[in-house]
Amino acid sequence: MWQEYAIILIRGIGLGSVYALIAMSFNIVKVSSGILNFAQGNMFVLGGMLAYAAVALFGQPSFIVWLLLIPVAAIIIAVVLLIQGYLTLLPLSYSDDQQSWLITTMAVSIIIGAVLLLVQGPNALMVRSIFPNVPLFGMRVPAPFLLAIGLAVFWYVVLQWFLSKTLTGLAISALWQDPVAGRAAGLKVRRLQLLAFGLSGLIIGSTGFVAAPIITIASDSAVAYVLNGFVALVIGGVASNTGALIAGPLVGVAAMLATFKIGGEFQGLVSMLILVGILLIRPEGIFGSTAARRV
Amino acid sequence: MARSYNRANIFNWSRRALLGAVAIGALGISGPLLAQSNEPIKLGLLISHTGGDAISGLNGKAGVTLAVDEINKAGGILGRQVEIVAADDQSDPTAAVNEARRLSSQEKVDLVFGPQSSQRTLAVLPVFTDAKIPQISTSGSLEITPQKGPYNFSVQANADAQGYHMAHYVTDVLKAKTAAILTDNGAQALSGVPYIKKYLEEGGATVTGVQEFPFRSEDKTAQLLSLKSGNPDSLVIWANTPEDLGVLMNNLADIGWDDVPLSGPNATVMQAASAAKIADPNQFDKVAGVAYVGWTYCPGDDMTKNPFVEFKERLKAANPSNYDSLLPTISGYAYDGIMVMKAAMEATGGTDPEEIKTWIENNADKVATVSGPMKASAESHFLAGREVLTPILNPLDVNEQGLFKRADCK
Repeated sequence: MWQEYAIILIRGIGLGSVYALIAMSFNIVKVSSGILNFAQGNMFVLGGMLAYAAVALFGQPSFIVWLLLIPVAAIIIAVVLLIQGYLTLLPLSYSDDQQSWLITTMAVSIIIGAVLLLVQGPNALMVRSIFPNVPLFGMRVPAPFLLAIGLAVFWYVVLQWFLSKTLTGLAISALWQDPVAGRAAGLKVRRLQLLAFGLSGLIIGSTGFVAAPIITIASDSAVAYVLNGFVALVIGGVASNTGALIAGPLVGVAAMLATFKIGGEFQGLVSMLILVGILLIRPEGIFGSTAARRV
Repeated sequence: MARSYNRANIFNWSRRALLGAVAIGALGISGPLLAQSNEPIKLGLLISHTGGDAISGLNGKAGVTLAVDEINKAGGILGRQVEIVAADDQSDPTAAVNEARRLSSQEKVDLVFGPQSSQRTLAVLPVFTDAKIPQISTSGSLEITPQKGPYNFSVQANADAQGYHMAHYVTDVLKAKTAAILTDNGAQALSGVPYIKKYLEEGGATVTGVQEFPFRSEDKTAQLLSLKSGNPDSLVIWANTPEDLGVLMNNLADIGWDDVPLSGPNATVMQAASAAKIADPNQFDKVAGVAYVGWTYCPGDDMTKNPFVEFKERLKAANPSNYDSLLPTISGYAYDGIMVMKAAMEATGGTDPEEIKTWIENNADKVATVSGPMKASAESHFLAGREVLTPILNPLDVNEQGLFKRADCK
């Protein structure tokens, strides 16, 4: 019996790590510009499509080739996000105090979804993992579940280091605290915000590529990933990568446990209940921080 | 003289005016009739061009378009060409209702094909019922009744008929004493669960557990582990998308339960080839599905004039570039639905919904179809009943013409 719980735990953490990575890619953009990029789900799916394209081009690539292709996919999505970021930030040049990003990020999401539908059609793309399944507790776990966990830890460490140990990262963190003061101090705000968009592209592109064999790569699947990533973001606390790293797997494991013990119909309900419960107890999320605002 | 002249003149003018009025009146009356006889029959194509069910839309559209092309080339219906009016329900019931309203009130269509899922069909039934528009849907939920949708007929086998064959395969062919049930959370699958349970229990099998999963969910391990703990002899599955079927097969292998025999619905037969792109094809030799008899064969059958094989050839000729991405099974029963409606309109001499409804209820079995013999009644508007369905084993095992081998071949 314990083996079943162990497998559910591992697979739940694996799937939750994907949500955590989506939440982290939300965070870096949110910290720099206050923008929640709703196109992030489609960027994630695009990353998965690149994995599909890689298999189509190289057959089943060797481990070395696959490893080299991760940064390639990440950079491609980062470039796409840089362009999106530029377009999103452009109207904000006239005034920071506006919500045009809501429309632009949603518009980009819709456009990407429509282009995917035109190019790929309604069928979901299916990618076989190049790695053998990993035997665990008398059962087996597809390698992408474990790779997603590793990738979440990797990007968490990189982000923590970048945001706290480098000048550029510290400058981006400063924007979260007070963008006006940052600009007054001579920070090149737009450039830093664009950099954050690019960085989020690296995270989400590599995630889509690595997780491709266990996700649904279709023109309409982005919304579900954005929602789960958003739930992880809010539960963990907006702008907290530590929160994202914990909340993502928490949501993944809770949903799977509820399915196992109660029934599949409660899968989605449980993550929403956790979200509501956390918001009632700690509106700022588990690791979120509140800040006083002078009015 | 002048007076009499005037009288005669007046009389003549009066007569002319009267004749003119009669002529104008006659034209006025016959105008719509004349126009109607030349106007194309408007067929609303209410399917999913976008969204999660766009795969059904793609295949339904291919079948309907082929049927309409063939009808128009043969001179139309009652001399009138058929014109398709496209509508996208976006795989969403709310959008389906909006489009249904547009089709009925703005486009004023004469008949409708779609929607292709029970949720959306249930949503649009009141619109087409109020507008009295004959409708062919491909939905299998048993909530869709002639009372709710008197003018709706479905070419999809309903959940009862499919559940009957799924359960009987378990109890009669596998001789299993216990079974678990795993379905997606669609209306059709969920409405089938009580029937599957009923037929399993009637056949002497005990249901050890029931689970469900959301469409296109990434992992079904938790559901399968939960069902496996009941130690059933067989598993009845209802997955409507190839991704769900593929993931389910992979998850079965992941937890070391790939030796359990599976009994699936119509969708299993249609989606298996796509599912095998991510799952091990060898696993499918324990998978049974429910097929329309027109798609099946037994060794020794005369295949020279198989309607479904001929239909597939015509479908391929009409869709040379994307035929490989089509599911001729879905296109086939969409085609059949249009042909049933055509026959009803020709037999009744028009588009009167009451006459069409009554004709289909009494005469659908007289229409030549490619999927198998269709039949309806006043009690059931599901054209594909139990008789048109048959179980097949291993949906990947097809002959050179792409037909599935029936499980009951001698």
